[in-house]
Amino acid sequence: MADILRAQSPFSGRLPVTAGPFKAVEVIPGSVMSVAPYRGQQAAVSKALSHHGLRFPDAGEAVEAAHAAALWTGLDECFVISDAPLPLNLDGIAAVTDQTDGWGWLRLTGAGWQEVMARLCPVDPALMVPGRALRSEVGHMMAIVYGVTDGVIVCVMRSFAGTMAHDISVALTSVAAQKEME
Amino acid sequence: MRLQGFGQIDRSSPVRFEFDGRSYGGFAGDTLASALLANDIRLIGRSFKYHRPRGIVTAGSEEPNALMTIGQGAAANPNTRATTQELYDGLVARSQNAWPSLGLDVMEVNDLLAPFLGAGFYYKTFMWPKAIWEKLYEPVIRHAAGLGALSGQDDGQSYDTGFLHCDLLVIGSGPAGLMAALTGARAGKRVILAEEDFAFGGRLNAEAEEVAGQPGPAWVASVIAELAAAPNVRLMRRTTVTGAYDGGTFGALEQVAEHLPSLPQGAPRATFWRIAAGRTVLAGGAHERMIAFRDNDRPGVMQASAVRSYLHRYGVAPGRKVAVFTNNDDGWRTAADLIAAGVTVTAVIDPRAHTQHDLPCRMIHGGVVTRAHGRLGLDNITVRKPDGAEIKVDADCLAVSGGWNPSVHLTCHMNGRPDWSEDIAAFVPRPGAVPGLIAAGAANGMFSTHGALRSGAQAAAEALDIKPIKVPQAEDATFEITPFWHVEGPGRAFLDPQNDVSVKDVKAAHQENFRSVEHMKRYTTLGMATDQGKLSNVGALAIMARLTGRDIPEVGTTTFRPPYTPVPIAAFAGRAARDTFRPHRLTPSDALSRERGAEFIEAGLWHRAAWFPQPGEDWLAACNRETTMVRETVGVADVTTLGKIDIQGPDAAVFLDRVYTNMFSTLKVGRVRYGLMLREDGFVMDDGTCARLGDQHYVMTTTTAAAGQVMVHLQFCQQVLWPELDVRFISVTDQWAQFAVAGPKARDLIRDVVAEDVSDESFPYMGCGAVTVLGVPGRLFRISFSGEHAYEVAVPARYGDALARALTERAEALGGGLYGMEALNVLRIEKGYITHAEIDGRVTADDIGMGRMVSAKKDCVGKVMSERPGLHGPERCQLVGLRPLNPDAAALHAGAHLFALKAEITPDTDQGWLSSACYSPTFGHRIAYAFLKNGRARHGETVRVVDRTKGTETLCDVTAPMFYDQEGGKLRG
Repeated sequence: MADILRAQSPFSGRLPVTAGPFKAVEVIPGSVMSVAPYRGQQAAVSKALSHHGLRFPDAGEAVEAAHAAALWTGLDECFVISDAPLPLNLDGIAAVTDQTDGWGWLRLTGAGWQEVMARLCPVDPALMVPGRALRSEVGHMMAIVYGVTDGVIVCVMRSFAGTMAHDISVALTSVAAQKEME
Repeated sequence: MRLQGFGQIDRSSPVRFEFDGRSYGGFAGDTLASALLANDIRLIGRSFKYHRPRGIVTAGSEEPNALMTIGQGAAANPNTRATTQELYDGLVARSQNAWPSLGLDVMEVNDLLAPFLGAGFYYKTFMWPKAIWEKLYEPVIRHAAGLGALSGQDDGQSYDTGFLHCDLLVIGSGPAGLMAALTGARAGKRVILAEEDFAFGGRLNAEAEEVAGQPGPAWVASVIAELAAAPNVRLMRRTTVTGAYDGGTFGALEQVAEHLPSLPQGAPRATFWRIAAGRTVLAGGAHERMIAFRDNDRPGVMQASAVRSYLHRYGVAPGRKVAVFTNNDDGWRTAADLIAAGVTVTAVIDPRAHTQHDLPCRMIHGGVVTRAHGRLGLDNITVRKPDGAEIKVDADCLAVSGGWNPSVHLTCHMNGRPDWSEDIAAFVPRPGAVPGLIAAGAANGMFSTHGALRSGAQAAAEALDIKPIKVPQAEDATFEITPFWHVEGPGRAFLDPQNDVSVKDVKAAHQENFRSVEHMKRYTTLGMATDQGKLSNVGALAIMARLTGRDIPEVGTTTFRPPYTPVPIAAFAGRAARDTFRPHRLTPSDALSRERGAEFIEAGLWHRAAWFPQPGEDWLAACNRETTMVRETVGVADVTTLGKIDIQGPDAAVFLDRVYTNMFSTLKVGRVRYGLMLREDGFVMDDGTCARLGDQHYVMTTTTAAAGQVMVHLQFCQQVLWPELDVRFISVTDQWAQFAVAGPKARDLIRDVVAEDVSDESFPYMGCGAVTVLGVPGRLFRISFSGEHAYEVAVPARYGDALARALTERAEALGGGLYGMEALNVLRIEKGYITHAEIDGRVTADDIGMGRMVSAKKDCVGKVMSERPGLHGPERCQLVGLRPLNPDAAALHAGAHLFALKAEITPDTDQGWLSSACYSPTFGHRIAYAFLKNGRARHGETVRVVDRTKGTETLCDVTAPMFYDQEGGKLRG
């Protein structure tokens, strides 16, 4: 049993892609945990998360701290993403699962990235701002969309990474080509 | 004929284009239609049914005649309106529906047969003999009729789809649209201004008018400059809003590259947008309508407004001697503009006896045009004067104005009906017909320029609840019209030139009692062509109104449906075409499988390895080898695709007891149990295993294809049925890479990669637990879908590729290797495990022999409904195995039906069907699963398997639905 298994990231070999001002790169969070508070335990969960500068987010909200964030991902559920695994101490008050390997994360940047998202996602890009975490479809895939200062982070289930890389590549190439035409 | 000093074309940019094989010149800023007219080309196509020579009628998207095929080869675009196609250097256009040439079209014989080919002709003539319809009539008619044709090839081009959002969507950029957009923009609102033309401005580009003391186009340019500088405004020219839908959503087609000789790398040909608008101002203008008279479809007969468009916008006189036929002031304006431009106006004919107009040309007040002459192009017209005398008037172009129809179409897309306005003798949008949409300008029946400016500003202010902005000075004449629809007389007077429908046809519909407007439309096909009757509808309604003694609003309109103008199907699809029609989900072993030359099969969105052919192997040889390999040594298969749902909470056990037919609260931690789920209606929904990882922690597996459905079901159960249960669940399908390791040597392999003890004591059959897999924390389940001693081993997905390789390498060292879905399927059929081939949504637990799995000790979803009469018992088709009497029988395929030995083969004697079948290398013959009426009581009987699609019949013995290791010793050993 000498060999150690080599890890591979979801977008490995598929990103980055660039065209014109646009760039899509893979982001690899150190840890992603789903947190689903049990009935009546949201306040207790928020309190536990406060040790990391976080709280349980409202619907559509992203709560951000220096090295971690809590992204709303659905009914009674959020993802706590962090640079390194955090001691969450949520035993008995929330269902927690490791989702670090379950999702692929990409960051889209470049002036006018909203035009790229407009080709892929029905949500108004004006809502893709820091502090917001949205669930929507991106290129016919269910996704988490999360605004950052210079662009947007799109997260899809790991098995979709190939299609996501393809779709974002096609969309940013298309928008860049149309900018050239202007 | 091109006129000097007129038009907004760029005379410094000449371009060459080709029409029907001949080369012509034009300028940037021309449409194909304006360039053809500038080259004195009047004959541009043949009509749909009678193959009559046709010319350009309009200067916009309502054009019925000038349909062209643009471009060549696979990407050629048929049925393109020459009136909206921008001219570019190298453009190649072909006319349609003519053979051998436009000038000499043999199918014109249809026109001579016209007396026999009127509306209803097909229905009456081609009824018998019935058999000939499909073989002869339909192909011949389809060949003779029609417009352009697609190439039938993949055009190799791309289209985009997209989503836009705004506070105010303004449709149309004429005076009303520009003022609406300005109003919104200055208030800081997010505005989208959509214009179907390649130039903003609407009719301001087509008239000699001033706005705010500037020529129309100059004022347009200043407004567009202001809007373009505003960050909150999106200007979208070449964008047609094609449909109005629920919730303020509009469909819009943006032509991205139809004006370019070739598609720039990476760009789409067009983008189909879904626009979510807070409020909408419809300022789409109006269409000038024609007047019906004999042979009014001759090339050279045009809308009066189109004549002005060609004059003012393109610097083209559509004729050298122009006559005008009008029932309103618009025609007079046309004549005045032509005279001012130095074009000869041979006469203005106005059926109104008393008008104030006076022009330096022949004026025939109270006269009508009774006939147009000239087959391939207009030569002259016959005019009947008020005294009844008929005279001929020279004209190679006749400008006709029968009034204006506001383009109400979008306001009717949500089933609204327009209102009739007596003042303008036309339909106008009914307020509120599309929630949040206000019509303005000519689209709302406001025909003066100042009125349009004013109404656009007001509409936007009202829509956004803000103050209107100041309206600039402009022409503000009142609009006067006396309705006049049709000049009675012999011959055919066309209403709908695109579908060749004449007044006679409407009369025929009336005669045959197809008097409802919807019936009339279908009987005559009026308004059913690609122009959706933009020019023809109201005229036909007027004729029907007169025939039935009703007024027009009483007759009503037919339904306008999206799209407003044709949209390529490819644009709806966008990039979801070809191989990327839908997303692909790839397994952790995808790269390895491809390296090994695997063939793939789709299961839901997943692409799974189906078999791994070795040199010289076809699929069957590979499948047989892989099956035998698992039975004799060890095989590795990627089973990541099975849905994995993590379920936690104080009530997790109770929750599972209710969704599964069998008990899960009694399952011990560290053990796995097979479970069956029913739908609410009592039929089987899905099956799978569920492992208990902790007191309040389970991991449920679902079938690959039903993972989403099961998740939705669980959500429904928790949120709606039992909100009192404290349970949480989430998909962990993609978190874990999971591999089946199956075969007599499976434990040898697992021992080699798992640090913990995997003896029967630690990991008995149906045991599970956390383990360390090659140094990585993972999970091990001792479960089997093959009947062999088997495991499923899972690691976090980042290690999936590496583990797949490590397992494969070790399996190969043991004489085994990878196996795919085909072998997996054979293994499970041999062993008697079901898939969705069996639980196809129509079978009950009892049908598949699992009736006893529906626990009597508790309730579960679907239990009560499954106990309904008719869902169990001997009348049901029950799962059985089938073994052919002749072991060499090759014809045993899923989908075949079962019959008793001597029964006649009819639907009544049908006794069931085959759900799964395969060649079993283990037994050396084919085997199958079937649902046979009262099957469990018929083991040992012989039945006929009849496969009508393959024309085969096979005798089979009925067996228990399990062929391999019925005692289960191999599983447990």
